[in-house]
Amino acid sequence: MAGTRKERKVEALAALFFILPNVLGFLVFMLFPIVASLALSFFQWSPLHGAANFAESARFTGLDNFWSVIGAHRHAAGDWHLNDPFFWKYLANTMILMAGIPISIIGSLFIANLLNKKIKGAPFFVTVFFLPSIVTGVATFVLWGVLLNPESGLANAMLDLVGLAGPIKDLAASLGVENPLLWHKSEMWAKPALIMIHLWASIGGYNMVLYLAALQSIPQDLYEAAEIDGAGAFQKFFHVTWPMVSPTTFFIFTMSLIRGFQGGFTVAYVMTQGGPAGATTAISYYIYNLAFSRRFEMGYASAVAWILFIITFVLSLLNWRYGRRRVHGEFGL
Amino acid sequence: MSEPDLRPVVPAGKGGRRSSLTPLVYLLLIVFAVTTTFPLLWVVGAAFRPSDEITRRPLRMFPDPRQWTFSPRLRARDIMDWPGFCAKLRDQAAAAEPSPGARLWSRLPADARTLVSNVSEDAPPGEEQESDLVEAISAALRSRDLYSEEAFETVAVPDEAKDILRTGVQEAPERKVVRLNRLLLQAAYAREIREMRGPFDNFRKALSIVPFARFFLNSLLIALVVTAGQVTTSACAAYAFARLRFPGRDRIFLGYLGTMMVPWTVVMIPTFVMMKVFGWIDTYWALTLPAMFSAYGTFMLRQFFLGIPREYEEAAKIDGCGYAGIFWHVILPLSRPALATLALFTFIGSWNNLIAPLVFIVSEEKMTLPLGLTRFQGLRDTDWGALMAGSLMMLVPMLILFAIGQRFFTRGIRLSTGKG
Repeated sequence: MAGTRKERKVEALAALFFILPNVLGFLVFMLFPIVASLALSFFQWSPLHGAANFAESARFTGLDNFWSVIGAHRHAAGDWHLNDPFFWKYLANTMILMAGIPISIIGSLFIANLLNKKIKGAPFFVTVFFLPSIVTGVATFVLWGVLLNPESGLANAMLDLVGLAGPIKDLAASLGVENPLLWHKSEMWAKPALIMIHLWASIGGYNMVLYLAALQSIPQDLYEAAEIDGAGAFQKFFHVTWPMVSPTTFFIFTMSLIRGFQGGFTVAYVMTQGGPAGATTAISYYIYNLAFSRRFEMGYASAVAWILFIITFVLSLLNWRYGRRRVHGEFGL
Repeated sequence: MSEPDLRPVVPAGKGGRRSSLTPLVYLLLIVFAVTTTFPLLWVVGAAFRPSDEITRRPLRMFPDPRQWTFSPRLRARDIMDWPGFCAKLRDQAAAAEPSPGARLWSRLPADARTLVSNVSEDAPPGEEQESDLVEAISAALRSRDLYSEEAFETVAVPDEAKDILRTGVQEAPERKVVRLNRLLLQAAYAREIREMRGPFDNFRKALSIVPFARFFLNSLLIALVVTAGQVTTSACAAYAFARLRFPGRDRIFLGYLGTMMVPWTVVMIPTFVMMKVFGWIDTYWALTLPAMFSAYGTFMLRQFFLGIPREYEEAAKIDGCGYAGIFWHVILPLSRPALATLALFTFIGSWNNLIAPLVFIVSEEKMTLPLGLTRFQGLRDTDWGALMAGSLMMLVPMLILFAIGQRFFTRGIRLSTGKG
């Protein structure tokens, strides 16, 4: 479709017209903030102390912010201490909160598999399963806060009704751990409670629909061939289904990884305020607190945000390099 | 890596074969459906009943309608303590100073007064006497001068009653007069007369503590503007990326893709500073404009546009369509499922967004529902009924939208991973 020079010019002009609003918005609200954030991470700046004027109140500190986040220093006694132990704790929190990802992925695949078995009313089930992932947000976190309330919430009342509340409490006491039925109010069990809420919102969501589509695109003759070879249901799953959906699994895993590192803010803000004792503070919540809530340390917060970005990026890259080998078939950009 | 692209879809039905396991499959699906929807059903029940009933045991899924009083009409069982009520009425009537009891007494007919005088702890009223008394009091509830400032001086008149008084009792319709008098009576005899309970009390309470209606309108307005803006800018750019040739196209597109991995926390801080410089803190601009551009939306629509056969465009071109004409008459109509899906996700993303209003908005009248609801939670953490009413107000529009959009969506989303 090689046109004349004039035609090409017209086409490029039309493209400019179509693309301009988006590119402007992209430059102003995405690219510029990214660059500015990187620049900011080399400064010590808080708009609180007197001047909001950046030029007057900011101090260039080079890589100091980054070192203050991830580095360590030596005490007089000779032992090493982390510069920011909170960062490491919250990074660990973020990763522990991501423990639900594999469970969620397996759950999504399992449900998609059920839906793929020539079920009457499959669209109805898809719609119903999808609901939690659509509505999840402040409203559902407020709701979960009430449901999981340790004193009079519905969850404990139901466990009490079936006679499980007492035994669980006794078991925890005999093991010397906190009662799991304190849910998000307990330092030990807050993370599992939040993971559970995440599972509720994610198993039936977008990932399940992706899997359903992937399952439907598997050619039936593969299963027939496997049957002729005498494969049972399990073998068919592990030797046909699992390899055939591996590109989808890879995609879902990568996206979940990226989202997981960035996530955890809203649920912490609404349900736990990052507590108890910082047990549910994810990195995103930490950054918010640094920048907007307590100290207004914009430079330091930017450095933490960039470190989070770098971690996400490196892990995605590793996942891309090593995970892709396990993926069946083509999976190109 | 490629996002699976949206394609127009074939109806379902080519899954596996029916087997003996089918009942088990249904059972599992139903169990899963019940567990996922249970919390959402429960919030509906909880929003329509008083807080003390939410925690009452044994458990009830849905409110007991017998708890509700739809009309302000007094019923015999609304008077919880007949002897106490009658004694208080008598005492107040006998005393010299003005009181609610004296007011009510003066509006009762003689035979009702006799009945009141005869009731005591030892002689509770019979069923017939009860109904006679209730009838007499109900007649009094219709009087337009039951309220007098001196008489109710010592009683905390509820806000709703004050509102009715302010608009004028003489002109008010009888329904309102009865409601006013009932409110006044139950304020004066809080221990003896049962409170009116309606299914919407929680909503009324929530609305009286924080301006939920305002939050709701703000959220709606912002979500609509953001959705319209994002779908428009994304569709235009996606068309250029998918179909038009211009210098640097693929490099720019790769730049878009690259930013999709950048955490929102990175962008948030400079955006805040920028909004401060622009003077947009505490304005709707800060909530709408930055959200109107999305690399993800552009990417998703580009993938969809790539899947549209070029033949349609060739035909349009022969008919004399320019680029704008092709975009408007060919690409957009063929992309309805993808556009609807993007619109749905954008609307709900904006509706649920907590961080932007949290960072940018200061004054209450500009807050959106997510921020307003967390604020409300901070004020009334233990008032579960009102809290659930607030949650429900935020959930319902999303559910409605999903119900409308899911038709597009379950079809449009039949995705396939593969070449991008």
